[in-house]
Amino acid sequence: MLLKIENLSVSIDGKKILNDYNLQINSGETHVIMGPNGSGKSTLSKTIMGDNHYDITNGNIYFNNQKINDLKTDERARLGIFLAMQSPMEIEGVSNADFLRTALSIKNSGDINLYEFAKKVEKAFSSLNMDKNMIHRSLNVGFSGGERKKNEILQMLMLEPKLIILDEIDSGLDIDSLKIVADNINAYKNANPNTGVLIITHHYRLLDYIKPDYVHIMTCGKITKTGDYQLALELENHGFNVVNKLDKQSAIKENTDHE
Amino acid sequence: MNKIEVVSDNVILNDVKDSITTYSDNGILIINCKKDSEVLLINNVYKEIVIEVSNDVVLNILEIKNDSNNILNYKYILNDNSKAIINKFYYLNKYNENIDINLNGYASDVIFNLSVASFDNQKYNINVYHNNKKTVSNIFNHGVTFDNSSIDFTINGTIKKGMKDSILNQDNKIMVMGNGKSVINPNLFVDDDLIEARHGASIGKFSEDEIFYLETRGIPRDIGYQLLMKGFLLNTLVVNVETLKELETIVEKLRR
Repeated sequence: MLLKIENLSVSIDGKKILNDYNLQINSGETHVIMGPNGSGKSTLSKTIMGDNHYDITNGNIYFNNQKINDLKTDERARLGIFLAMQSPMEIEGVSNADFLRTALSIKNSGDINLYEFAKKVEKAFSSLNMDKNMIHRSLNVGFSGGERKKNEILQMLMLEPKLIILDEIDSGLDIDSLKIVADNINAYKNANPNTGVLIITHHYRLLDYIKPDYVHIMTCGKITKTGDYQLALELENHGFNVVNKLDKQSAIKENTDHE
Repeated sequence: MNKIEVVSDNVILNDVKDSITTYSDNGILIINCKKDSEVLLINNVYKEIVIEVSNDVVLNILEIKNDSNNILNYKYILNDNSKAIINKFYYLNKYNENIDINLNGYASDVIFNLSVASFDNQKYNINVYHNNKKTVSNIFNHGVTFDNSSIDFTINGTIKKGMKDSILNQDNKIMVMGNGKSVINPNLFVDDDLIEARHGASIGKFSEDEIFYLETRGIPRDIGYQLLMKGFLLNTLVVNVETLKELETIVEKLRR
């Protein structure tokens, strides 16, 4: 089991966001979480990553069978969890190159071959169709929305995580960039087949390119329905309310039939 | 490039001939740059330094200081079409410095980058006088305070009447790593309508969101602060790659 979330309840400023939440991701699986605004999707991703704004009031998170509730964010990242953020931070004065070199150097316990680093960066820039000069620019400063998202994927390619969480990676991307990002994720996954992927999205279109094993609907801090790719299609056609309502009606019908 | 170095009270003229002249007496050092030049000052002990830049000359100054047992006064004088790029990197205890920048010449232009790490109370009075037309000043003061230390930046930008088409820009920021109380007084004294003047000032802490972002890439908190400090203190300085590396090493050793 790559990621196991067990009976997790999470609050922020005393307000419960996740409520007795359960999710399991095995190595190599791709899961998608879809849900309306405010359903707790980003809270889930940041809680997995250890953002201390969120209080775990109950439950546990395991990564590769290790309980990580008490690990710091950087420790979780070094275990191999990567969060591509919905709104990547701009950091003035810290260059992309310095940032990546520092992160890789820590990951490799201080050992970093500059030649190999440069080659790897160049390859990643090329495959993401990004301007190579961005490596010398301050982190995300002056980047367009799409460039920031690509920069998140660039970091993913450089850091080689075991679990990739993509929090609305598709927002801000034009159609061509969306395909490039998806192609890079697929290529990474093909090269590293044990990698788990958790995609958080509002939209179906990313799933045209990255085929999920499971699609979950999240409502009010809980998974309310799980299905496959077809469930995402249903959502696209009918919306969250209708799908959830249909689900409730079929459950009532099922219960009536049983009676 | 003509280059002189001032280390403590020792003035080293690297075969500059008559491109740069210097004169020192009674704790005062006068440097006159007549051709494009570089000046490096390391822990100078003069109580007053006067640097004059001749017409059409570009001067690049780098000053590094970590010895703070004195109060220093600086006077920069820029003549017609001259430009001075003044970079100061200090990591100091108690210290006071007074700086007068006189833009006397037509279209004279100064970029002033002061980056300081403070371990005690420091005070900087910076006066920029636009004494001619089409003069430009860009003043960037960045400070980081540790423990109970503080920084006081007082910046007075003055544009007299008739000095049209002048541009005055001030950007002042202090990052607080401890509990000390710092002050920024960004003053503009403007007596002409046909100019541009901007000033900004902020005192705060490094953003927790920025630190979190770095942590999500496996960078521990203390190294994250180092990265942010390096960016904050060194990003504005106009220095070569080798010098930048040296300054980065210094910042990495600054205690949180």
